[in-house]
Amino acid sequence: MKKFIKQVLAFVVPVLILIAMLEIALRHIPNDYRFKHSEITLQKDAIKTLILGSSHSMYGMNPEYFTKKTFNLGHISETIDLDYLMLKAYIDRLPELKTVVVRLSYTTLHEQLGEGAEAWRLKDYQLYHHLKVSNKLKYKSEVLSVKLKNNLSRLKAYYVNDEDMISVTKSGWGYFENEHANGALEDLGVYAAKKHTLRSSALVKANTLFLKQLVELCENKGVEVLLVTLPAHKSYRNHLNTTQLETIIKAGTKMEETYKNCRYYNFMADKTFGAADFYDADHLNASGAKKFSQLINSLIEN
Amino acid sequence: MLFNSIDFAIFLPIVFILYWFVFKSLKSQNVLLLIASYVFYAWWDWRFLGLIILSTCIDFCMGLAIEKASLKQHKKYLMLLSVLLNLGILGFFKYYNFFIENFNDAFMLFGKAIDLNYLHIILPIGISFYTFQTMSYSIDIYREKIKPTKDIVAFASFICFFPQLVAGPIERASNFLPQIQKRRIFDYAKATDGLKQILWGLFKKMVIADNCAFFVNAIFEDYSNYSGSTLFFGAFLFSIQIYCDFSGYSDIAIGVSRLFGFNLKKNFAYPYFARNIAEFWRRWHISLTTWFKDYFYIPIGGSRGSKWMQLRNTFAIFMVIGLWHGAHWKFVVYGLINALHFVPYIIRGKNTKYAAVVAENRLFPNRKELFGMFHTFLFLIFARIFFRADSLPHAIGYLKHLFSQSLFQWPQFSSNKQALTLFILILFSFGVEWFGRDKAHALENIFKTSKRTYRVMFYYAIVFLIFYFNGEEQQFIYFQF
Repeated sequence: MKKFIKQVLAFVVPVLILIAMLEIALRHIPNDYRFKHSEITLQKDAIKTLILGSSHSMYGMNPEYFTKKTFNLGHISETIDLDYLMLKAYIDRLPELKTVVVRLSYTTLHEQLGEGAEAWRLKDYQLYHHLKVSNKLKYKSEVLSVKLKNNLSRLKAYYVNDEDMISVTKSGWGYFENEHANGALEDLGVYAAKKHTLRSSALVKANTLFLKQLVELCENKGVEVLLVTLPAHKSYRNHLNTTQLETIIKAGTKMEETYKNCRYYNFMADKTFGAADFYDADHLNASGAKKFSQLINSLIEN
Repeated sequence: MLFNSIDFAIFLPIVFILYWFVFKSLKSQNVLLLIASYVFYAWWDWRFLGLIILSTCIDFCMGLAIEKASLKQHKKYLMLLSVLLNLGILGFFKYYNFFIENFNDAFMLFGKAIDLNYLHIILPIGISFYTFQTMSYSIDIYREKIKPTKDIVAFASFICFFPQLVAGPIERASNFLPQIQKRRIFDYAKATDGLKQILWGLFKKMVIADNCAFFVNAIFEDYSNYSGSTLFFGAFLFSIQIYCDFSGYSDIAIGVSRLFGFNLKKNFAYPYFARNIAEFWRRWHISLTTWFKDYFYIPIGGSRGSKWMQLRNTFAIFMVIGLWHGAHWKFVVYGLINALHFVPYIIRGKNTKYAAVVAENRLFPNRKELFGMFHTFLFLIFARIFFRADSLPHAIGYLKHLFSQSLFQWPQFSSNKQALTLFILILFSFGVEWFGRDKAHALENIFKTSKRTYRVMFYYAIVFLIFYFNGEEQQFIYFQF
């Protein structure tokens, strides 16, 4: 038995040491999650408007174009359950908060991060926003939640190539390197619509509850909620599933009817946004974000 | 708790240390195994623990009652009662909605709508596996092959032994109960070999099966938008996925058991190196096929009697094997297709050919063996479309698209680089399996005669491959059964 234990330890310990070293090195790499956490903490006393949501919000609303101090807390692939948890975690730390802007996208009621292919992102909420989002141990670690292949690429990018790992401004707005994505908007729209059309509506009930809880939390704190469906290119709009889309629109309308502190705006087919405003079929680029941010700002101010 | 989870990586060493260092007596070790097994199962859903405990109690009591009954007729009634109770539980959870759907459809055919209600039933993980285990216990006592145990802890540990609880191998009391009732002594060679088997099982599951799933899921979900050639590769990759997923699970289960001093039944014997379909079924999911052979095929006549009787029995066993997998007509069709492929072998009396390993004492197979392996595997690729599809119409639609003109186009993958890497990894894994094909598991003899350093380097390489190429975590396919 002693021999067995010795040999197992001799084999396993170097692997564990390597894992620990990797974990330390990975946690030292700056990332958008930690950056946003530290920035919101620094700016907490001034923030009056908070933007929540997925990449649609993160790229689509630039706080620089809001009259009042605004912070964009959105993250790529963030789902409504996480929007709620994020708000719950930060709302009491923002004494001046008056408005919360939440995207109500085509997928908002149909998906949760923990259930999809990007579940690995849960670790970012655990490790850098300090939220308890999953009981799974792997989401408490960089090494265990992300493929080694991807982690090695990150290590190389930061430690060897000295790349900038932050892709958001100090107010949390995410920017694309280019104005437009590679590929024709038509093709990108078809691809994105297909990817976002989900077969199951099993999560609708739970996600509607998260949405309600989010609005009620704001109601209790005297904060107004603006639910917004962002503009999308026609190549995306035309390939959406009507039932899934209607579920979202109905939910937004119902929230507006039920809660006095909630307004819903659907800009999906807004004609003022043309091909030049889109990075791809469902994300605004910098000029689109400017236009949209000014529009939202005018709604808040009025 | 999944074998490829961090939770299990912590759970296993804790149980191992408690087992060998703290709970040293036989009784306390069995109690520990029982508690650990219940914790392992409850990690998924504690509410279904009651069902396992109920199944355990039924067969424990039935076993004793069968033994005690003086008349043969009474023994038979008690055995039948046990089988009915077990099948009743299994039938309710697994087949209730299937039967309701078919009753409704059948009445509709005669113009009468009965509209029986469906129930929202969650299928308890592993129910098909442990139910078959408990059933065989009562039947074996009735057949006087074994004596019932009076030790409830030993019996409960046999039913829910955590390495094989949720996806087998389906153990027999005659193999397992004597092991659990006898003091285990730590065996260094057995334990290290168990670790090797666990490592290989993890590789097959996390690297091969989970990466195949990435392509398979996308192709099967959206088959109408892919070329016939891509659909062929989708079906090919599913065949690889299901083998690496399930045999990977079995390797881990057997390896873990060996760490605790147990020998489980072999569940896979390199089935893709089989030279015909009969040999394949002797090498695939062995614990299930032998179960059906002993408790269904032989009692209905087996290979005795005329060719027609043999054919009837073959079709019957494949139909129930198909249905065992789930309450879907697609599984029945899957079983029937396999049975059909069996027919020529039965007629020519060649269904028992090829008992020994392929290319015995040779490095490569001869042309005949190669052709046999190729045609068997090709058949399985197509048959498994029924297994993987969501429904019978889905499978038929998939096959229609597959056999279109686009079958001769170059296949399209969402990532060619990823597909190429996967094919290289598949080649590597089947290469390793080929060299170990006459052994209990693929890594048993690898680098055995080489320096220890080379051997260790090879194991580190496998660990690296697991970390580097592991696919998106997928549940083991057979958990759903």
